[in-house]
Amino acid sequence: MPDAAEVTRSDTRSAEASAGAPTPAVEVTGVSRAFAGVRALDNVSLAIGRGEFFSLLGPSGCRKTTLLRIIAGLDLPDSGEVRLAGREVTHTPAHRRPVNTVFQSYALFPHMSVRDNVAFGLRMKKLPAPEIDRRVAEAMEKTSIAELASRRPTQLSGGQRQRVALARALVNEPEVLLLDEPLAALDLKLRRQLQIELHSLQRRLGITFILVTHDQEEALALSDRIAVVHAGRIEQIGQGRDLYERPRTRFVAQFLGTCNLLPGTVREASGETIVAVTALGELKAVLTADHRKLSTGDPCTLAVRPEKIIVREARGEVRPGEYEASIMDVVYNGPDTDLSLQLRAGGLQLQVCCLNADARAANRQPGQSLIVTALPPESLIVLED
Amino acid sequence: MPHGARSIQVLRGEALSARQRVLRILGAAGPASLWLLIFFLVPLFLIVGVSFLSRGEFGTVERPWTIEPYRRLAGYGLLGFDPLHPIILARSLALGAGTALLCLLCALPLAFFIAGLRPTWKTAALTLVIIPLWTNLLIRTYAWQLLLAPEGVLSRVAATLGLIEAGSGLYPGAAAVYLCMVCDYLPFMVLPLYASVEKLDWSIAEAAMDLGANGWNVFRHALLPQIKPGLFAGSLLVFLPATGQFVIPDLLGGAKTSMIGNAIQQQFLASGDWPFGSAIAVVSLGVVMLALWAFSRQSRGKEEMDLL
Amino acid sequence: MVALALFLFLYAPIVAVVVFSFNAARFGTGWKGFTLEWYASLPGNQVALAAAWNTFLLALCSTAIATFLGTLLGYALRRYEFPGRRLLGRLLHVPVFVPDIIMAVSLLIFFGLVRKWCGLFELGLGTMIVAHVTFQIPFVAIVVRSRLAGLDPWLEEAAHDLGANAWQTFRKVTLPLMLPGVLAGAMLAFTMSLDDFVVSFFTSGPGSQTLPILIYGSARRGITPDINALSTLIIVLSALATVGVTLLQRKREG
Repeated sequence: MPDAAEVTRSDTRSAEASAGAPTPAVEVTGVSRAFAGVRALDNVSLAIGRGEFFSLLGPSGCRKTTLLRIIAGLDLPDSGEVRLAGREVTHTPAHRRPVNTVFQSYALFPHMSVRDNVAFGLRMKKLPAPEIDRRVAEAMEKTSIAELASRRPTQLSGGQRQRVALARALVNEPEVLLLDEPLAALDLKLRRQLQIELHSLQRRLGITFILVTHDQEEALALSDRIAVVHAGRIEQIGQGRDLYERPRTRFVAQFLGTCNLLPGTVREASGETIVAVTALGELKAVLTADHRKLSTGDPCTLAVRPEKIIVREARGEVRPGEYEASIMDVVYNGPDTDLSLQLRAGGLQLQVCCLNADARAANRQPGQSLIVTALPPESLIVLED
Repeated sequence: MPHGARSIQVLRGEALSARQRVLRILGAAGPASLWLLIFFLVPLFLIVGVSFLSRGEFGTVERPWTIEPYRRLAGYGLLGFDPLHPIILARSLALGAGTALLCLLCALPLAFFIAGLRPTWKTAALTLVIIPLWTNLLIRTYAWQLLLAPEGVLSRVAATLGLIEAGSGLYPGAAAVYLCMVCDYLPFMVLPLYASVEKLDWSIAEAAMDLGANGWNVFRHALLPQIKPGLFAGSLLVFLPATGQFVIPDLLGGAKTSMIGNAIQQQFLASGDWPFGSAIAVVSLGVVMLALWAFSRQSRGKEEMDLL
Repeated sequence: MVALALFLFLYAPIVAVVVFSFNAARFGTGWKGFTLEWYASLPGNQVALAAAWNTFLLALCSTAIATFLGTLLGYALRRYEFPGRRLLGRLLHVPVFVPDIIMAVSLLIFFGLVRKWCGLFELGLGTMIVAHVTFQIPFVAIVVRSRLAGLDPWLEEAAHDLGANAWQTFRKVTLPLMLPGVLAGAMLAFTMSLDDFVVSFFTSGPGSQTLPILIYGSARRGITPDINALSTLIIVLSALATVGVTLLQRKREG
């Protein structure tokens, strides 16, 4: 397992470089939090740039929410510190931080109208009434809830409540907006629509968004960068593409999409490439730039994404580096087909995803034979664990 | 409840320092707890203590410590065995239990009836049940004096039927006490029972009928287990106060219907024998605690009762 | 129908009192004609008026104190986790079930003891208020706590997140949402105090007679008809109050 600090330090540097701003909007350093013996957060560090749409992605559970609450000021970490735009705020109470949250259950005040809900934060700051009215109207326009102003939360649908919660948070013009699985309770179509709205809203406003979600598609679609959280630690931070194409750990590889795992032993290691002995025989793979050093005899795990494996018809002879296989299971998805293959030699199972480019590809059946072509080194990922 | 909220409840922290938290909790729960400690718990301990002391001049107590009051309670007085007080104890328990049972029998049909009404009628019916509850017990009790007086219709009917002597009334008497008790405590049984009946899952009864059970079995196996909480709550709400009643037997009964409450009142206010009175109170307190403990084991971890 | 018979049974005493309040008979229970003289005699009845005044004063004071203390306790029990919370919650049910006569005599002993040591707690309105508050607090706390169960725990946090400090949160969010529960508890406490007899009886002193005590004394000696009139008035008030509360509740929930 790579050291969490190492991972985040390098990503922090790249984030700073990409954000262009020297002071990150949110910086969390070495934060740990335990509840009744359970370590919810274990030495977590990250830095998020201004105007970034950042996601905390991980399986369902409360760890990610805990981190969000610590950033919002609704919880105190056992150790570590939180900085907003460079200022240390670890012990500043929530009502004095320039951070607002959209709660998972929306937490709208049931005894107030929609307008009063949205105006709440501004009223707490004791702004003059005309300005409050103006900003409230503006916020409700932006989130398309202007006509719901005098309704009560109990009279609204899920999607409408979500928008009210959003407006209520945004009207305060916070430096950072925290969203705790805001779309989890909505049905698919509504979710997609609101995702698009969220994305364009963030682009327009330029506010730093931190989104907590367990939906990898959501994270990939919306975020500039993603942090994959597992068991209270950050497994990997990076852009969606990097996380998908170059996962570092088994967890990340299997959480974002599916992955075939090939445990093996290193036979040769030279600078940028290694040759490993796996169940598929000897495979050559390319290491990433900051991969830890591997030497002969070390155990390693190779991974390959289903869509990177090319199959061809079982005609003619099997060339070196190729494998005979038969189809165990077929799942037709429309644009592509997922195949479960079993290799004739050794019985290893592989998940393969093929584009349904022609009739033959679209009509595969269990029991058919296929040939898996050689795996080029670039398609193989070397995992760190 | 939002998705995942239950687990969040457990792992939720708060942005309060330990000191702030302690101050807040003490400030909120403290005053009331202190009050109850001083004015409820301490007096209860005092009464236990007093029950082991000796009687002094009127209304006072003094040492030596003794268990004499308890011996008298068990019947072993100065003049040999006197079953008066054990009988009173037994009678009170019997009366309490009897009242609870009768109330239960009356409340069951009533609860089911109300549950079957349409919503507006339901609220009306419930209100009709609650009104007597909120009307002074004393008024509802002395009213039976009016109803059961010798010249009253009910007494005359009873005399004609040979249940009582001609010319005497149902009041004062054991029958009057029973009638009044059941009538007064009926709402206490109906409301918790109704709460359970309201929440009944009738599909279980339908499944039972589908499987061939007759009316009684359907009730016994499909409905009864579901209304148990209401049943127990109601029984407790009737049994405990009924055993400790003193007003009703005092106003409607005679010497033959004397109960714990009367005994206590007599010892404290008339005879001035505080240790003895305390002993009686302690014993009935013991009964109460026992019943409460049995009840809490029945309804492990359930919600507190809905009192309104 | 069985239900109808049961309802009649339930209301028999109430109806009897109301009917007899119009009975012109001075003694006994034979019907001697319709009259309103008993009602007319009430305003002149100093004893009854004093008792009524005592009853209301007692109920008002004790309800105010008990609601304040009980609400805080109910809130703390729901809101905060602390060692002994569950035990305290269970213990709170004990005063609900302890027969009032036991509580009454135990307080009698307590007051007597304290009086011997420092002269406080002469039996009178003061001791009655203390006694009433003692049995009211658990009820208020239980009602407030169970009403708070429906409250979204995230609401207070949302208020904080939006910039409200502790006091503002309490005033603008917590209190308005708690209010129905607090009012329900207060109403319960008020009614219990008005109706209480046993505890008042044992902790009252000369000059601090309440209506229930008055009625009891009358019932023992033999009912004077004006008591029937008084009782009828009380019945009517109770009925109105119950109906009023039910309507209010429906309006709020509807």
